[in-house]
Parts: sequence; structure tokens; C-alpha cells
Amino acid sequence: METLRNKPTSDRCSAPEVKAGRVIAGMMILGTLATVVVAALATGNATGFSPNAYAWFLTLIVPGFLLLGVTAYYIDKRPY
Amino acid sequence: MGALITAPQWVGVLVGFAVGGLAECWGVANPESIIRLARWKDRLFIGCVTVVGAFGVLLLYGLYASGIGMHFGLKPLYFYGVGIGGVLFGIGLALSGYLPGTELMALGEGRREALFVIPAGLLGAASWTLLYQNAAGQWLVHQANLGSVLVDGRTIEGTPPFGLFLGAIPYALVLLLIALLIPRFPRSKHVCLVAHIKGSHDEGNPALHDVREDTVAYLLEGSIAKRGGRAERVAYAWSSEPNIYSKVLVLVALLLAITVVLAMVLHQVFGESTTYSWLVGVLALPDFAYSKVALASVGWEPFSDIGTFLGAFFAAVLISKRFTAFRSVIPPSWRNRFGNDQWRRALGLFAGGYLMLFGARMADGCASGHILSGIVQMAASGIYFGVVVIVTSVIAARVIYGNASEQTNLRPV
Repeated sequence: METLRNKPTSDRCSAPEVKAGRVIAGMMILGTLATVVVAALATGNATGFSPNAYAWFLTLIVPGFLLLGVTAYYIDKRPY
Repeated sequence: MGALITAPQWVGVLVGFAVGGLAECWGVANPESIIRLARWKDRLFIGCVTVVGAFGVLLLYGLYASGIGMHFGLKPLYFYGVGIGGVLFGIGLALSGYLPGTELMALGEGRREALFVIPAGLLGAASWTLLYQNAAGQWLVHQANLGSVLVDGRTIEGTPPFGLFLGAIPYALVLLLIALLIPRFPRSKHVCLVAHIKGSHDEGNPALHDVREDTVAYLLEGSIAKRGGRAERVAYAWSSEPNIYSKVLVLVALLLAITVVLAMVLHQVFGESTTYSWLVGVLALPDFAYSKVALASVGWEPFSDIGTFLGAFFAAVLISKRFTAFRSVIPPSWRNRFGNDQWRRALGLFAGGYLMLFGARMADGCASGHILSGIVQMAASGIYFGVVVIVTSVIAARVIYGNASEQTNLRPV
């Protein structure tokens, strides 16, 4: 019976996949930092309630494009 | 009491990021996890919420008693609105496999289902905005309204801070006891304490071994993880861990409790579903009474929701490897009951997402604002809502899924 411990491990990452994985990791970290910076700038450091809707939509831009980019890379890869 | 700190709205992104990342590693972004909760086959959510509640309530009222100001946000207990909202929420949860917060996490995991359930949620929130405008909506929120009360009937304002902390101690013990007495998986006959005394986690139990393997299988199905890779081992060691009191689950619960309390120190209670009503107000119904309430009272929630999505996205791509790149992945419980038809699933998602958000807005909160933050604050409304949701979802799941298997790799007969 196949269990987690004896499942095949042949589909390890190839060298280009490792490199692409590093690029994606870098993009994720930079994108996360960029999202926080955009949120801070767009809201003008406001502390109150009733946030500005434009600031919110601006904050969505970086993670939105990041999601599209990461999806575009992984959509052709073989799923688990 | 000490002066209140009020952090900028953008800090909500960081708070949401922490919650989204931790919860994604838990596995709650996967709809099968929520469906199994409703089917009473995987009670991780119950165990974790009670342990988070126990840590959180002691931390919250301990800090408050020591002079740190808190942005409390006890939801009012109006019996009919919270009760009926909880019933609708429970049915929607069982049908769709999502909570308002896990919809955002699912988007971060690249789940195609999020593209159906989030618009349905917006429609549900819009429906409540319309209902609130008339007499029926007003009756639901004003009839039998006890106000913002604690579980023992007191109010935060009317109770000395040290008295609140003293009350939190037996409350936390009860929560820890609930976690202790409800094993995560049904065929696991031990309680966690017995497992600890024996020095094992019931590993010799073959039924438990199978259910752990199946948990890993559904969590990674369609994902970017590699067979035999680290993500598989992490999923087995962390996400299928049967013992609520294992080091890793206790650590995650502690981090979540700290995050939830930190949110109250910095700005407001952690919640997810108000953003839906806020968006309805911004985009479609700005002049309606409920939209005016949502637009004026929403704090950093829209930003913490972006953080929740981003945290889950980050964790799914870099840690758990459960990012599915918007491939079609239908939860095993659903496909074993209704087949692989995507449109039938989409219909279930849409109906479930609609009911859930309609119920959440009627009750004035969801699993985050009512249940998680409510339990941490000892809120009577949060506990009432939580019990109604769990009972309803278990009944609804029984009706919806019947005796269909939840096995991920079920072979066709």
C-alpha cells in the first residue's frame, strides 16, 4: 500500500524550477512589502474609521497582479 | 485606565496577514476542512477556537487589568437576528464549505471556487442592506435586544478590570476542557490528555492513520506541492495533527490569540464580513441606512481583509504549497455526493455564499468578529452565535451530504 512515507519522490524540482521558485519567492516578499507601503501612502497614515475607498482599491493592485503572475506561472505545471 | 493606542489603518494589512497565513497553514482555506467540520468528521476548528479563546481571554483581560486600554467590540445580543442569522450562516457554511474570512484565504490559495463564493457573499450582504431598510430588518435587530453583554450578563463598562480578569480564569478553563474532551477525529478514541499521559498521539490506531493520510490528500489535491516533498511532510506533521494540545497546534493557537488581542490593543476587534457591507455601500447602495452605518463604522477591516488574502497567498505559495492556480478542485465530500459537475458545485457555492453572508450581516458578525473575537471577549452574542452556527451546520450537512464518503481518492464503483 502506498503511504506518505513510501510515495515516489521522483518528481523533484529541476534546476530551472528551483530558480523560478526563488524568483517567485522574491516577488512575493517584495510584493507584500509593497502592498504595506502602498496602503500606508494611500491612506495617508489615517488612524480613524471609514477608510478611503480609493486607498483600498489602490492597495489591491499589487497583490492582484502578483496573484495573476504566480497563477500564470503555475497553471501549466503538473498539479499534486 | 491607560490611554488608548490607535494604530493607522494600514497596520490592519499586517494583522490580517498574520491571521491569513496562520489559518492557511492550519488548512481552513480548503472548503473540505469546513465541510468536514459541519459533518462532524474533523473538529480542528472547535479545538483551535477554544484554545485561542482560552489564551486570548486571559491575555486580553490580564492586559486590561494591568492598565492597557482596549478597543473592545462586543457585538449586541439580539436573539432573533443573531439566531436566525446563525441558522442561515450554518446552512451556507455546510453548503459552500466557506466562512467569510476563508473565502479570502481561498482566493489566496488560488481556488477557483472563490470566484463564485465572493460575489455571492456580496449579493448576500446587499440583501441584508435592503432588508435592514424596512420594518422586518429593524424588528430583527431591535426585538429582544439585550445589548453588548458578557456571558455572565455583566457589561465591560460596569465591571472593574480585575473582576473581568478573575471571571476570565474559569471561563478559560472551561474552553480548555472543551478542547480536551472533543478529539479532532471521530474514530480517534482517546482524549488528548490520555494521549499525553501515554506519551503518544494514538499513532497505533489504524483508523487515525488513514484519516491523517486522507487529510493530507485533500489539503494538497490540485496544488503546486511535489509528491514526497517538504509540503507533504509539513501537511502530515502539522495540518493533520490529531492532538489539539500538540506543540505545533498550541503554538499556532497562541500566535492567533496574540494577534486577535493585538488587534484590540491597536485599533478594533478582528472581523472579516463588514468589508462586504462596506463594499456594497461604496459600489452600489450608498444611501441605504445600513450602508451608512457600515461606511461610518468600518475601521481597518477592508485592509485587514486584504492582509488575510495576502497572508494566505504568501503561505500557500511559499510555505504550505497549497496554491492551486485556479484549477478545478471540487471538495471530496461534495463530489462523492453530487459528482464532478462544476456548474452544480458553482450553484451550491453561490447559494451557500449568499446565505452565509446574509446571515453574517443579519447577526452583525461572522466566524471572526462574532465567534473568534467574541469568544476571546467572553461575549454572550459570540457564544450564542457560535452554538447556533455549529448545531445548524451539523444538521444541514447531514441533510446535504447524507452518508456519502469524504474519502479523497474514492474509487468509482
